[in-house]
Amino acid sequence: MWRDYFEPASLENALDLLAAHAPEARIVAGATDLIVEFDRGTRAPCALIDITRLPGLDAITLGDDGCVHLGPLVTHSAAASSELCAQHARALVQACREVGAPQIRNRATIAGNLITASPANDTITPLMALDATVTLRSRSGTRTLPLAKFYTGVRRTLLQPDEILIDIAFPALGAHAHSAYLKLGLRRAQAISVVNCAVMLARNDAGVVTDARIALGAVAPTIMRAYDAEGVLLGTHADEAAITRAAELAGAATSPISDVRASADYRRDMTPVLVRRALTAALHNEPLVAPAPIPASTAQHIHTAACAVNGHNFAVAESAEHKTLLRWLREDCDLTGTKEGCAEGECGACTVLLDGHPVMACLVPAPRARGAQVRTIESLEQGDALHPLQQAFVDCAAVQCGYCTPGLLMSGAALFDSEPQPSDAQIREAISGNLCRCTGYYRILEAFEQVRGARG
Amino acid sequence: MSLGFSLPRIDARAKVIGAADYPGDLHMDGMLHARILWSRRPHARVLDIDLSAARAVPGVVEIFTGADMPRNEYGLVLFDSPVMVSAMRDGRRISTSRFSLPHDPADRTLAFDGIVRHVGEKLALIVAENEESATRARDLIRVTWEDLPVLDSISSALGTDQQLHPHYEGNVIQRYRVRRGDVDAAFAAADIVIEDDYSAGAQEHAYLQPEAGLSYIDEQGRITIQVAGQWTHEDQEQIAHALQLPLEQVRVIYPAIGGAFGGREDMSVQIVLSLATWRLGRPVKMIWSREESILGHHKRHPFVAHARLGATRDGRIVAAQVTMHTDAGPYNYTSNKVLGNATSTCTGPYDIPNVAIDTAAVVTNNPPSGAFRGFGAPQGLFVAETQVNKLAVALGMDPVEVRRINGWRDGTITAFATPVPAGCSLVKTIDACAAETLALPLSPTSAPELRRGRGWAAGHKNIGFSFGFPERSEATIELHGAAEIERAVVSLAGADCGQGAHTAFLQMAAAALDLPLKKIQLQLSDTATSGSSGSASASRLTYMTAGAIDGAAREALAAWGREERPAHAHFVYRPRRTTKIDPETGAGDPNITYAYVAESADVEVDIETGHVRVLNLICADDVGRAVNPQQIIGQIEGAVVQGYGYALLENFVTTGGVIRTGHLSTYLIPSVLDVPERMHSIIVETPDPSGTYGIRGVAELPLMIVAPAIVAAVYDATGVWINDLPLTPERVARALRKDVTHS
Ligand code: FES
Ligand code: FES
Repeated sequence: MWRDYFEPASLENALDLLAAHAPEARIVAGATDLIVEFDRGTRAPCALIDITRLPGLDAITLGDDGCVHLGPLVTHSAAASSELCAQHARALVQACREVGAPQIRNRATIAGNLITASPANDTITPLMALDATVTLRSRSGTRTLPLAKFYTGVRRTLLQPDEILIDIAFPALGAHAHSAYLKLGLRRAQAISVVNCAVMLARNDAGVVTDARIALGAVAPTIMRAYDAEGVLLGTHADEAAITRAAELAGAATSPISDVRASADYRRDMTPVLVRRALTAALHNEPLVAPAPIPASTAQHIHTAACAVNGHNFAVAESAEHKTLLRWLREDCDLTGTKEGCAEGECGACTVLLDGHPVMACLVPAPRARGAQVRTIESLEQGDALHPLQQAFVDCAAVQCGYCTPGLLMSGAALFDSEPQPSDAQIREAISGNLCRCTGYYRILEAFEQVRGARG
Repeated sequence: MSLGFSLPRIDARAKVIGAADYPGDLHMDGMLHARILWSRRPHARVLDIDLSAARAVPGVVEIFTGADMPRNEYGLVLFDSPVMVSAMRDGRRISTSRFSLPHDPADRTLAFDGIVRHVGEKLALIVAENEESATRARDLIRVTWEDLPVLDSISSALGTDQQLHPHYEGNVIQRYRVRRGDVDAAFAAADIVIEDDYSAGAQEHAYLQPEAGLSYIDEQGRITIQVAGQWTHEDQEQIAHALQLPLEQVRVIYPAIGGAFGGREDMSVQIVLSLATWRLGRPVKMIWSREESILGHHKRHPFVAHARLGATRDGRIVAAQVTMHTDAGPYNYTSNKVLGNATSTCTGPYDIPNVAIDTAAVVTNNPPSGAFRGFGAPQGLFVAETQVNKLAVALGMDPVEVRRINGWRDGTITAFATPVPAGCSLVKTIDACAAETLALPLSPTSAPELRRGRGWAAGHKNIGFSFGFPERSEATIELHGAAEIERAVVSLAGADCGQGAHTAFLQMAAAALDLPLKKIQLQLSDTATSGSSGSASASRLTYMTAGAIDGAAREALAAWGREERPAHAHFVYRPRRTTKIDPETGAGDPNITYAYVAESADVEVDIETGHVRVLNLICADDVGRAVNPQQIIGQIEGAVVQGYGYALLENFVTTGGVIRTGHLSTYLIPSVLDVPERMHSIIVETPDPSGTYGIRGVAELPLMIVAPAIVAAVYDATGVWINDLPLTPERVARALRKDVTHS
């Protein structure tokens, strides 16, 4: 796991720590990618500088410069439910909703994602299509780079070891410009892109394309722009012939590889299909479906050594410094109701509420819980009375082996806390990060419906 | 009567409040922690295992290797696998471990050869005061290897002189040969012949709870292990065999089990943890990571097959021929048994006068294959049902009608030259599915890139262990009270892996004793308190346990009548005997009875990307008698979704014997957004005359035929047959493109 874990009190403090522990210290927020890498031994232990307690870094704002600005702590959930993004950057909203599971989206930040720089990343693609820039700061100064120039190779960026990404900005799309994001994965939730594509089309009153951008993911060592394809759209009405031509050129510009998910050929073949569909979607400006609500955060920016677990204070001891929240809950707090099914954020068996938000406890450093409120399955029952969702799970036979059950119940409890009458789609989305191998999910959905009905 | 109603499962409350303990949740004071050193090489000779640096790690208590095993072998059917592969020289003594294959009359014991034959072989067990020390020590063990040529496919293993396992000549574990009638003449006379090749990859169980266990010495001095398995008494036997201890000195207890599906039928942590506790006298706990779980247990058998099916123009099937090879990996596990079931399903539940079947389980350096829900039937029925669906197309006939014409009925003579066990309800089950399906016509789609289609399949699953296995199941009942029975203690070992078995046991015991549920006290899943129930597999547990409970209840009530207090009875239920099949002809009576299933699937295919979405899936299952309908529905839905995964999503990839989908991020199982949009289960109840209360079984049925139904639906939508599973988007897209270029 990580070596030292720091929680700086200010951005300046973070920059100092970074400089002091360079070159291998890492700024983290969600730390969702890093913990998996540590766990698998693909990353050598290094110091972590957790900036999630720093105030003011999670804002989404429209600046005087006409740009939408995303602070470095903006999570995927926050962007996905942002009105501002929905209005000016629909492709980004669509992409954020496809990242990992809801529990991951509640923790993982867009900035972190940009720095991890996976060639199959979901959010870099729309940000490139939106012509985003990134602003980097170190003790020696601040610089702003276009995102399209930020990547130098597979998982390599221009970020220097002493720099922090402090701002992501892109021009807000006006009324005549539309963006769209599409992804081809092997599964409908929690899937890594086989190919993804984001487009932006701006047209004048006559319907003539005045600006076009096409970005592609998982088809080259880095997320790429398809400049030739963009060019052929300019000056056209984005009619079928122009779109087809652009789609072909985009496909020809790719240099995909074969991996365990798909062959290079399939990726190359799918690129034009996706580009054509994304361009068509942008033209029609298809509306977004309402996302599952995210509960209000109960976070307090207090520094104490203890964590309030289910209302009781537990000290996060020195010895737990290198544990995940999951291990700490199970081993040090003796709360074994929360389960480990994968330790990589894929199964949701470890779902707990961190300051009110469902998170994968296997991807949270235990020291992050200091000063935070954590709720686990053991807290759902009130006295002898089961939570309505617990009772519904019993009544509807939503439990078989039961190993997935605590995680599902925590995702569900958070959903009902923030939305007593969730739609079917919201229910499905809320549990899309909780795998169950036994039930096929139908009785679980029925249990959710029973609770919704009883509250309606 | 407590049968036939949906009693909420008895362990549900503990599970929803997080209080149910799975093996990994158990804790004992002073317990040690263990980790495994895995081979991670598919085929190599271990020249040396140097433990010196590892032993020096603070906190390390002991490191065990194969040389520490009193008898370094295990296996569910044959003792043909080493518990831990020892080095040829292990620094202390030359290992004298041997393979003994007790079922082989010649008992060809073989000098131990220090060879790892797949990536998931165990080399050492590191025991330490804490997990971190164990992990650190594991990483410091230095192994000297000599890599050996890897045979990573059925064809490479069959086309070589290199023999991978000393016992399996020609790299074949088992062959079956079935001959009925005269296939050559029948094909020559047939109006229509369907001929094709089929294949499928492996499938990973991916139960949510990775393997874990806690071993300790109990108050009576027994080596005791709490673990998740499927058959307490078999675990006990295998531990006792490897440690060369009397059975009574080993105790196996199952706490809550986080899913199994066949994947816990073979040994995981049981033997090595018992060894550590036996040698150290202390409690030892081990939890595998997900990656270790995928590495450490077997998979569903990959297979290749070639099939021919001949029929007359009016739809009568006259001949079927199948050759099928399964990839067993390097050890038997249950490969010979799985092959038997693939053999008995690969021509379907159809009345075919001329049959020729040749099957073989082939040894390779791929991960071992073994039991997985359906046990060979998903492979066999994928071939059989796809062939029948193609026949229906060639005949221009309704696929349901073709099945009605040819389907088994009471009295039909099977490929094994003996009649179908009485109570055959195949056609009734098909009709139940058809009625429901036809009431809901396939709705069209307007999107130009989408196509919709509907497909059908049917199948049969044997209940219980077959081919002459001496099936049995025990139950003990003690009735307490004076004038009236106040309390009945029912002791059973049968494993509840999540399927709800224990709830069904309670209902059956109440019914057999005619007592209210609250008077029944179950004593479960502990070799110290119960006789063997046999395995929670082969759709057998409810059927066999019903027989045992029923018998024990009769005897206990009789004792009660004789004024015995408490009245005690122990009963061993034995169903009707089956036989092996003739090695030349396949003649025999291998299966006790069958349960039947029929399904329809409506799909939507994106013809550009190859994505297949299942809109509607209807599954009718004849369970004989539904003890708890709600739990049965749960079995149907869960099994269908696993079958959905097998058909469309779950792509287990190995290259040169090395696993490339070793995590849940690369081996994808269905999420809530993937499953069929509408799923409808139909419970058919045709009492089985051989079973107690008419019970058959259900756990495997719904899974087996999801793939052929979906494949047929994809054909109906697109006009293209895809013969290889799973139907990944890429495979579908490629097949559709190929079809365009050819036509
Ligand atoms: S997501 Fe945390 S254990 Fe699987
Ligand atoms: S009930 Fe077993 S994984 Fe969901």
